[in-house]
Amino acid sequence: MNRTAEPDDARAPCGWSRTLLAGFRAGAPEALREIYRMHAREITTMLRHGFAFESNAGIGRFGGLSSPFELQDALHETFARAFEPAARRAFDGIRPYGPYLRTIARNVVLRAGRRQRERVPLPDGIEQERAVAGTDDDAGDPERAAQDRELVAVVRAFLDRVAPADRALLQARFVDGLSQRDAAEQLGLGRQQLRTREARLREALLDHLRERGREGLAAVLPSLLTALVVEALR
Amino acid sequence: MIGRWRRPPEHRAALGELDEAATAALLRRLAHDDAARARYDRAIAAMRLLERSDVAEVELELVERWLAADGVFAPQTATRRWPLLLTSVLAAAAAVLWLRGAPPRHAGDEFTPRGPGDATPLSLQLLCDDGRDAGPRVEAAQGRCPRDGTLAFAVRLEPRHDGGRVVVLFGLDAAGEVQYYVPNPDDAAVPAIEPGRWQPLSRAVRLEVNHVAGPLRIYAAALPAAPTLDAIDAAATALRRRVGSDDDDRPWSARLPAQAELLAGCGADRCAFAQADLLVTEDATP
Repeated sequence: MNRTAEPDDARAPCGWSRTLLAGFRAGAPEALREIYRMHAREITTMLRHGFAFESNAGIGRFGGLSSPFELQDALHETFARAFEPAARRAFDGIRPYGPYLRTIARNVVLRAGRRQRERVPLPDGIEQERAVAGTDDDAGDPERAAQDRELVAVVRAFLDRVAPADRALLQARFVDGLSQRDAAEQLGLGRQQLRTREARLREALLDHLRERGREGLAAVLPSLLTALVVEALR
Repeated sequence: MIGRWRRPPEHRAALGELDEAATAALLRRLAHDDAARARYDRAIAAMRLLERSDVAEVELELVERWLAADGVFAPQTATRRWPLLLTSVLAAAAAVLWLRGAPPRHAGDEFTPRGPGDATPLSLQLLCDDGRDAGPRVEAAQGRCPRDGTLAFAVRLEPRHDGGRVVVLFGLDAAGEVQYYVPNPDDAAVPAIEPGRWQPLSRAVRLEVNHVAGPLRIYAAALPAAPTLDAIDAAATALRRRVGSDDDDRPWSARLPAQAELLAGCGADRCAFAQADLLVTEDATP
């Protein structure tokens, strides 16, 4: 489905090609995948950075989901609902689809927040946004902020020992923002070579993370054991 | 560098190594497993830092796989992840079957179905491609297949069978986990086979995805209609309870409760069953 090659009269008012719209309404897998890929990043950005909302208690702000799992869970739920047959049929193809998806994403998050409030009633005076699950509020969670700092240090230590050639790859891909194809060209590599090297770097990072996790545990284990012994002797 | 199979599944997910079904199973589990979730969040957060991005590239791919596994991109067949691999393995499997004719069904072939033997009209053959030989090794040493190998299947229905022809395949691994092959959460399609000849199935399994080292028992059935994954789950649960019990050598269908959903429509020899055992090894050394 090449959207750019089609004349304007082949486009639905929402901006999609009419072929894509028909495929979406029919639930064609390739159409649904294309639409997911078109909109997933936009919805992810919204879920990651949060949004303002209005409720009976006034205007609140949802701070965004920093936990990768929570973010992916919300993204999954958003598209699962948006792609239900009834929801697909309800989309008129006239209005843009992005705002429609963002509304679903907001509802997914706020509903999850309501469920959490029902389980754990919050004391009076807590801001509205704190009531929503998974808000990005490191300042209010010193333990998580410490974990984040530790992770940054671990990744930095890994990057410090990366070979110059790999450093150039990381610069091209993630600082300059080049695609794999462009980065490969700039570095004089084949695309597959670049992909392999990037994959190995990712593997090495996670292996480093795992090793450092063990080291971290080894470092705190003696003090933990001491505390347990002291507790047992009381 | 740590071997791929020694990495925790949360890290393999962050590297994009898990297929759709495994990705979905993992992400569903994270909702209830705090330790695994912490490992996963940390791995993805590291990817975000590496990419200097609020969201890592792999995150959108993972959710796409999760949606696919949940059937959100249905109703047509979901995209297969390894079409080239599948094609080559099946072509090799077909060639092996053509060259060899019908594989031997008992002595000397560790892939021979256990259970009812000649009495059953269904036979199951496991084909292991370890990536080192020219084609699948039908007679792999001692019934082994390495975890970095690919498993494919061939089935044969005797001409005398006039019952169901829809083939179902699933396995139970050493950890007691059910492995869905045909159908599976990615692909609900089940093939109907023609009696009287060996037929490779359009399903190849990379053992490094979702499989642990150790014994793997694979159950096959020819049924009148495609079962649900729930029916397979229930059958696997019943079989798991029976592993090691006195009647373990009986045909596997006889080990299911009479009211098992998987056996619906199986009266009067309408269904046929077979099973085969495989030892999944950590390395390629027999």
